[in-house]
Amino acid sequence: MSIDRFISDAFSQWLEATFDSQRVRAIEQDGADPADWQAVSDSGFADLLLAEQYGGAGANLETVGEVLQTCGACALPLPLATTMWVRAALAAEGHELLPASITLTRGQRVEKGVKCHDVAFAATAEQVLVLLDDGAWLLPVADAQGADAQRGTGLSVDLYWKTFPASALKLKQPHDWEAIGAALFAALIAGAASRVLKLSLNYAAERQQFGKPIARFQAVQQQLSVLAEEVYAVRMAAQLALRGNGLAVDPRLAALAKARASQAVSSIGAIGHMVHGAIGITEEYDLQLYTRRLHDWRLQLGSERYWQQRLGQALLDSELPVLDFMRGLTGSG
Amino acid sequence: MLQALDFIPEPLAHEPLREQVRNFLLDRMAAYPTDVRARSWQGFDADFSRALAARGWVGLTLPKAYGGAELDAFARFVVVEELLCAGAPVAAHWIADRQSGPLILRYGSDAQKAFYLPRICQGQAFFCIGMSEPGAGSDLASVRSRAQRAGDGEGDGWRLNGQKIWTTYAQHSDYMIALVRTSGSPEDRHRGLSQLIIDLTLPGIDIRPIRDLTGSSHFAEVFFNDVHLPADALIGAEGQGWEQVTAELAFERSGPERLYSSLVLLDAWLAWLRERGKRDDAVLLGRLVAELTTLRGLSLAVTGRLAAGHSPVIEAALVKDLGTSFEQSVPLLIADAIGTDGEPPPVLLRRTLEYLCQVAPAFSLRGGTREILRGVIARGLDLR
Repeated sequence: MSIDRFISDAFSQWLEATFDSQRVRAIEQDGADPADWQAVSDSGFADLLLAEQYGGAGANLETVGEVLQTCGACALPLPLATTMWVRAALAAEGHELLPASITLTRGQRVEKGVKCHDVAFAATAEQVLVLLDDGAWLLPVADAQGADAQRGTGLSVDLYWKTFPASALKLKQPHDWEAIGAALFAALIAGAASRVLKLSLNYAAERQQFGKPIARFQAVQQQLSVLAEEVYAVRMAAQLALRGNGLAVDPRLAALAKARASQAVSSIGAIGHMVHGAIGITEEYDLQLYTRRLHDWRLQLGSERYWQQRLGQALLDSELPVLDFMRGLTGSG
Repeated sequence: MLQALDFIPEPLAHEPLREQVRNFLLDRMAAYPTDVRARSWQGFDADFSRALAARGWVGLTLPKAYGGAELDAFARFVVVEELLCAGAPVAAHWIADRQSGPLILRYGSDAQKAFYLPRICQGQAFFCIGMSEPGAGSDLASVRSRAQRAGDGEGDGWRLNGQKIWTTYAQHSDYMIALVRTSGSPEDRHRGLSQLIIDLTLPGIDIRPIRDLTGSSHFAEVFFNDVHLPADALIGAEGQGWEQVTAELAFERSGPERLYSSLVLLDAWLAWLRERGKRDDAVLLGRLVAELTTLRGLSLAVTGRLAAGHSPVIEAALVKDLGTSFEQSVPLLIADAIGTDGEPPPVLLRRTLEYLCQVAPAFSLRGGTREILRGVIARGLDLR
């Protein structure tokens, strides 16, 4: 067994035990308890990417990618993925590490303050790395206004700081945070998508109609095969973007991963729900935990067309034929 | 069960091979216009295949003892990728290289291996696939062509009667590996089927090319009327034809040829956009290259499983279905972009597009239809 699979299996077991679907629902409804993030902090997984010299695990991106997929597959309602990256960046810049959960979003300066739209995990995060025209700024969520008022059933909300917080911290290293975020959300989508497939396969095997499991009907089988294809494609796309050591992600591969992952969301959601019928629409059945997140994450930092445009422009500018462009992206080993 | 397909990079070791193939193609393909290159693995050119064989690039994975290069599945991936992306006319040796050679290596007798494999590697034996019949398409187990042990006075051997259809380039091939019934009746399904290697020059064989919708004749129907075959026409064990044909289809389905059928068009369109500095179609370009790069990653993962000695039947079906859906979408999506462009496309681009829009429906027929492949995947998911 490879080390990344070993770590992600251990993480998966811990996560399933600590954040079961009832706890996930409770956090979505009432917000996170400080003990929730404390449990994540204590587990050490927030420091998976942190370099060993700063007390982290210094894991490679393949391992981190597996762990992120597990977060998606368990519908973890906390911003573990982004926290890993920001902690690693903070440590590298010599900042003291505090045990805070950190999410990531784009933002705009308006008058004296900052506005952010549809911030993933804003309902549970303590801090948010806001990507502004003048760099990446770490802002405290507690100082922001208006969050809860427009919250839907998800964890994503708009954030608005009327005045720029005095405690804001600017990250100095020129990381492409938008690309990093895109790759992370692609991995989360891959994880949630794999859970939709698993739930759908189980349900199709159990649910009986016309005297036999619906899995025995060709019409259902063919749809589930397509679902499996999309899940395999999204996982591959996420793996392509998360490789190697350090924090950096190739922006073209990040664009590829997010474009492919977001593109798959519509059919993955549709087939998952088709297989489940009415029970899939209920609150009490777990499918909704995953399909709601898929539709949220599809849009985070840009949906498929946004990232297709970026990748397409990179292809045009490269002056390379398609095969050489692809080989340049994926490399050889 | 369906296994995970994890990314593995293409091995660095095959870079020199890629460069050699690329240089050969630069020289050799210069004179081929785009709309001819679009035919790629539908293009039959015996001289081209022999020139490739002379450089050692046919029968790449076969043992050196039989004249092969004894390279791994990744080497074949590299060579196939270069050939298809250049739109090289590879049909003549394609089937022998991809499946007949590996099939003979796996199931053939020493004498069969010694006879056929060196000829395949030299480009002296071109093969076609004798699977489909008029009444046996997706339902391959219902083949009716029948070979019987030859009676008194005919010596050892087989007497073959029946018909095959949709046989790619039967009219230009030297041999067919056919799935036929050697005992029982069609009701026995998978039992009683065997594979025979048929020398297509024998008396009693009538090959009639079928014109396709583009006006060319890339496939044919083949009639067998009391064809007398020697005893060693049988490949593998009598009655094991179904198992063998399943293994053969795994070779057929797991190569990268299921991604690149429309690549010549994509490159030609991209070049036309670049020439004019036109950037409004970046979204579609990005979509296609994101899908294709992902597919290529999946295909490399399948190649890795082949190289490790597995027979990734289900994974190959998954990648093939996803791959052919992509290949089919490319001409249709580019047609819409060209129809909205505002400027008429260059004539070669238009012809390439027209050809691919016409033949693309076949991409998800050959080597197992979309519905059959999804059934294979469903079995891998334990649904049936």
